[in-house]
Parts: sequence; C-alpha cells; structure tokens
Amino acid sequence: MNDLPSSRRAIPWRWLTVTLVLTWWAGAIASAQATRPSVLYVSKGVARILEGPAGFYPAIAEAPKGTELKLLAVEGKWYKVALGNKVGYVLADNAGPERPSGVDWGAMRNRDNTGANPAEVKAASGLMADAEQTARQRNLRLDGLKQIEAERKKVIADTKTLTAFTMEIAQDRAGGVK
Amino acid sequence: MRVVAHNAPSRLGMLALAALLLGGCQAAMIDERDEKPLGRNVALTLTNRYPVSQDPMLNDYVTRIGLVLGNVTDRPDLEVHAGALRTREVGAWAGPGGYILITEGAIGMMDDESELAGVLAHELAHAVLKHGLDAVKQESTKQEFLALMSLFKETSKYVEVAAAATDVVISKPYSRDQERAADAAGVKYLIAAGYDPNGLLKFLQKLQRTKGAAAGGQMLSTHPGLDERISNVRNLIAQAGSPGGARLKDRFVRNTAGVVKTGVN
Repeated sequence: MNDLPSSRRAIPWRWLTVTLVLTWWAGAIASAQATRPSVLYVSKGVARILEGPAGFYPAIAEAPKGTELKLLAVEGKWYKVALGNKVGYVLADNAGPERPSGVDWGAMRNRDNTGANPAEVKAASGLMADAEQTARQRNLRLDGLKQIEAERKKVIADTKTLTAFTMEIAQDRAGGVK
Repeated sequence: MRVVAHNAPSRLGMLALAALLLGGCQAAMIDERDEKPLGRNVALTLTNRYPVSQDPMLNDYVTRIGLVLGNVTDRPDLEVHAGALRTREVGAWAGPGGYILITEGAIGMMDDESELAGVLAHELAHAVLKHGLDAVKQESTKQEFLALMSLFKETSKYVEVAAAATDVVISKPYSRDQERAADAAGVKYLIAAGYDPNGLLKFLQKLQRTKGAAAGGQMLSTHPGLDERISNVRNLIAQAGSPGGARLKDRFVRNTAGVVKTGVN
C-alpha cells in the first residue's frame, strides 16, 4: 500500500459523498413509508369509493363514516385504497388516519353497495326514504329520475367522447374552436 | 337560481318535518348520510312537476357540462347528475348530493355554452356547499315545532321526512349569503373548467332585463338581490383578472337546436 501514489491513498471523497447521499435518501424513503399510515378511516358522512381518481368515475362502493380502508397509494388529493377485495379511490378530505368516535363499528364495517345486511344499510342511510320508496307511497313517476341517472352512466361510460368534449373547452379557451 | 316562483314551503311540510324529526324518529337528526337520498327525492319531485326533456342531444349535453364542472369543485367525488326539464318556465334547482336541473325555458334565453355552464356552476355550488341540506337541518330544529310530535305512523315516517325535506329544498329561498357564496364558488368552478365566467354574469343580466315580463310576473320574485348579485359577480370576475375563457357558441347552438329560443338580449 505504501507503494501507491499519494493520489490513490487520499480519502475517496467523491464516493463517500455518493454513499452518504444514497444512505440519506434510502433512510428518508423508509421514514416516509414508516410515517404514512397503512390504514385509513372514512372521516365524514358517506364516502364514495370511485373507480379512478376523478369525480366522473363510477362509484364501486359507498363507505359510511368509520369504515376501515387499506391505504395503497397517495395520488394528489386522492387516496388509492382497498375496501375488502375492491380497490378504488377516495377523496383525501373524506378519510384520515384517526378512527372517528361515535361509530357503530359492527354495523358500519364492510358495508358496500351490495348491502348484504339490510339493517346495516338502513342504519347507514339516515332518516330519508329513498326515492323509490317515496314514489311507491306517493304514487309518483320514477322514470324522469331514472332517465337522468341513466344519462350520467351512459356519458361516463364513453370516456373518449367525454375527454374530447373537455378538450374542446380548452381549445376554445385558447381561441381554437367555435 | 330557482327563478321559478313557487309558494313558500308549505307550513304543513315544515311542521311535519320537525314533528317527525323531533318525535317520530326519537330526536334523530338529518345529517350527511341523508344528502344523496334527499337529492334524489328533490329530483323525483321536480321530474314529476315537469317532465324530463326527451331531447337526447340536450340531455347528453347538459350532463357532460355538469360532469366537467363537477370535476373541478372542492368535492370532486360528488356524483353530479344534470338534466333538462321540458317546460317554458325559467328555473334551475340544486338537489343535495349533486342533482342539478335546469328548464328548457332557461336554456332558451341563452346564447352560448358559457351561460349554460354559468347557471349549472351556480347550482352545483349550492349542492357542493350543502345549502339545501343545511336548510333542512335548520328547519328541523325550530322550537315552534316541538309540540307536534308523533304525527305520523312509524311505517311512513321516512317518506314523510323525505317529502317535507324536499319541500324545504325546492321552495325555501336561499339566503343572500348563500346566493353570494354560490356565485363566488360558481365563478371559481367556471374559471377552473376553462369557461368564460362572464357567462354567468350575462345570464343574470338577462334575468334582470326580463323582470316582470314573464307570465304571471313570477320571475325573479325569489331573488330580490339580483342587482347586488350582478355587481358581486362582476367584481369577482375582475378580482380573478378577467381571465376570459371558452364560450362555445356553435357547440351550444348545435346541441340546443330542439329548444325554443326566447331571444332575450
């Protein structure tokens, strides 16, 4: 070793710096992962779990306050979560790491659109009769409401056309479309 | 918007709502869980009062604009449903949970998409800000209703709650503060979606010009503060830097070809 030129015996600052930076980076990532909660709870009302991270995606489930969600990722203002065997997105405003108080966990947990237990669904639905019940009891026509709801489903099913529609707004804003 | 004037919310409806909430339902309260069912009940009532337009192009168009706006609000997970009602009356309503309805009469007064988006954005803001739900909550806690408990049979209470609450949402005018808040949020949504916010301003000015000219003089009777709203919206747009934006006149004309135009300028 003593035969090595002095430049080779010097402390390899360049590699030392790279090693230190990499170590810090790995530590920061590990720390961020450690502080990010793995479980979230629906924090208010009934949160809609959507198929994608935007309002026009269809809901795959509706989870009442207190429902436990497994956090998979954070995408802007949306959490990608798992609810049972379903994966979807919940608005970050509607879920948090703190379990809210005053919730009947037994009744609330795992409720989704299938409504396996009607008693649980009623408990999670508040006081309002659904429109179908009102229509039956008050002899009202449901077809108009159903038509509006079907129209929404039809429009969001064709994402390509909806995207083109939105793009035309941007183009017109820039002065390109009349 | 709700420029169609109707009677004040029926006294019986509000009494029934309070009685049910305070008595029949063991002092249970209306809360956020009721938002969407209430909105569906509001839409049910309105679509029984006026038929939904059978113009497929128009319904498709109104729905698309509603979805575009719904995606830029502070509650983008709200399930926005927008539809057109077949009547010459001029009106627009916001049902809690995102059920937005506008009449063909209102659309007939418009010249471009920015005006339609303006009215829809204003109504959507009422839904996003929970003004309808709050009105129902407020009515349900008034002391004067305390004596009227257990008015209805257990089996019908949920339907009666829905009917009374719907009456409040549809008929009770929003407060001046709520209208101001909805205009401010509406302008914000329009700019975020790329629309010219002057569309809302133009439509409000048209409403002002037609005051008293509508059948029965009913128009605008629920909006005594229209002058103030126009001034506020103008200021909001100026504060935002008068950003301009999409108006899409030709697209509007194509998609509303089946609507009778009333030619208000």
